[in-house]
Amino acid sequence: MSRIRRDNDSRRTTWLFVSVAVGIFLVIFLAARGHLNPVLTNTTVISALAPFQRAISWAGDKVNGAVTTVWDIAAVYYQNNELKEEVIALRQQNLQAAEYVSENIRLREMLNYKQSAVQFDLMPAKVIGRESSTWTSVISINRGSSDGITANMPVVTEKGLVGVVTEVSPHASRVQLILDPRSSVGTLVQRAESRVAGIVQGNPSDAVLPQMINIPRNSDIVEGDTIVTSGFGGVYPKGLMVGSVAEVKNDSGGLLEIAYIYTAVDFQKLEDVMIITASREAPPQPLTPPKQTPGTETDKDGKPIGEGGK
Amino acid sequence: MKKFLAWLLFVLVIYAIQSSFISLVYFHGIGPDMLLLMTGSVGFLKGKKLGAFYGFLFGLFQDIASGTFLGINAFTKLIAGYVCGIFSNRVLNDSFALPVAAAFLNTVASFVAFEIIMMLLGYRFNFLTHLQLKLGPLVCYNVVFAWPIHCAVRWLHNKTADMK
Repeated sequence: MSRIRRDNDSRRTTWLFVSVAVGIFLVIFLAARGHLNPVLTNTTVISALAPFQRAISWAGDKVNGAVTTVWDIAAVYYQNNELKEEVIALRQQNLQAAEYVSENIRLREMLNYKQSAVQFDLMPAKVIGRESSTWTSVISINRGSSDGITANMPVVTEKGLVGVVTEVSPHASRVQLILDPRSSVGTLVQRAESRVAGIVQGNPSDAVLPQMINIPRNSDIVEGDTIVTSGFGGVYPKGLMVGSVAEVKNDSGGLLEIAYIYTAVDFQKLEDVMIITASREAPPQPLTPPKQTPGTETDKDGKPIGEGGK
Repeated sequence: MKKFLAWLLFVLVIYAIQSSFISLVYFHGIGPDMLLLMTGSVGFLKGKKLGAFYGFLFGLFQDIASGTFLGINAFTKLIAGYVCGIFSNRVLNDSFALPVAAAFLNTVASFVAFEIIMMLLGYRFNFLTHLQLKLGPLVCYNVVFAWPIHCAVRWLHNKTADMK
């Protein structure tokens, strides 16, 4: 009996369910085409929902704000770390770029010098070491006997004389600077009226101010005179710039004078040098005719040209 | 009456959370359908008759509140509540897998029903694109929220069991 009732109940439920479902299905189409409006208006439901939505929205905004803040802080933290790494990388890059720029400038200057100093065969070299001795001034360069370097080869930069190669190993050499008290460079005053000769050697009292000795008293040498190599002695070719006279003093013996020299080369910034592997007599400069006064021009044979020549 | 009010309040809060709070984490405009999850849980807990009835009410409420096609949620949730209710005596209601699996199946079935109704209403769209762009996120969200919603519904079901 009860089983029959249960079956009837179940069948009724199923039919009810199907009917409701079909009913709703029809409602969807009727409502979609505007033939049916809900009894409970949207306004009622919206009004009932509004306080909850407002409260939860407010809470959501707060939570979202807090989460956003935390997220932003985390993002800023990671961004900060990334930026720090980037700054370090960029600094290194910048340093490297500045180094390249500096090297480029030096090499350009050296190249210009090499192109202008046609009487010399020059070999570029890098300074790879510098002796930190109080009494001597010696540098190491990255060229040696395997590059054809031998002792007594002069070393220069585009600005002037640096020193001379004193010791040679297969892949490196030692250069004695003109600042070294042991060095002796035959020099003379470049000024045509003077041409006073002397010897430049390192100054034990002032390591950056070499002195020119053996200058006869009352010689024509004044502050600012340019000092170049004289070519005497055979080590240094003639005409290499050494520096300019900073001060002239009488020697303690009273017969000679001493001139202190501002070197042309800045030895504090010595990075690239050139070794003179061979030198020859410089070719004479081509003669250029002097500028002629307009109206009095003459040709190469001295004959007047222009209106006066007709 | 108390029971009705408790459930009404519950639905209002859940829907408000869904529309005001969860919307902050919507993925391309897609979020969880928490009323569908509630419907499934109610079906498992209360049986097919009440499951269908509650589903119908939840869906109707959602239709009116969201302003969508009237009856479309009522229809799908009515069926979902009824079908879940059929299994109410055959499954373990405390199981974790039950609401999660039900959420997956209900979501897919409701989505397909939605799409068919929309086609019948004359709307043309790419079904496969919808499957990829809408059903995927919807299933993921519903599966994630299924267990917490089931726990909440079970808690309310137990609380209101003695109420009249």
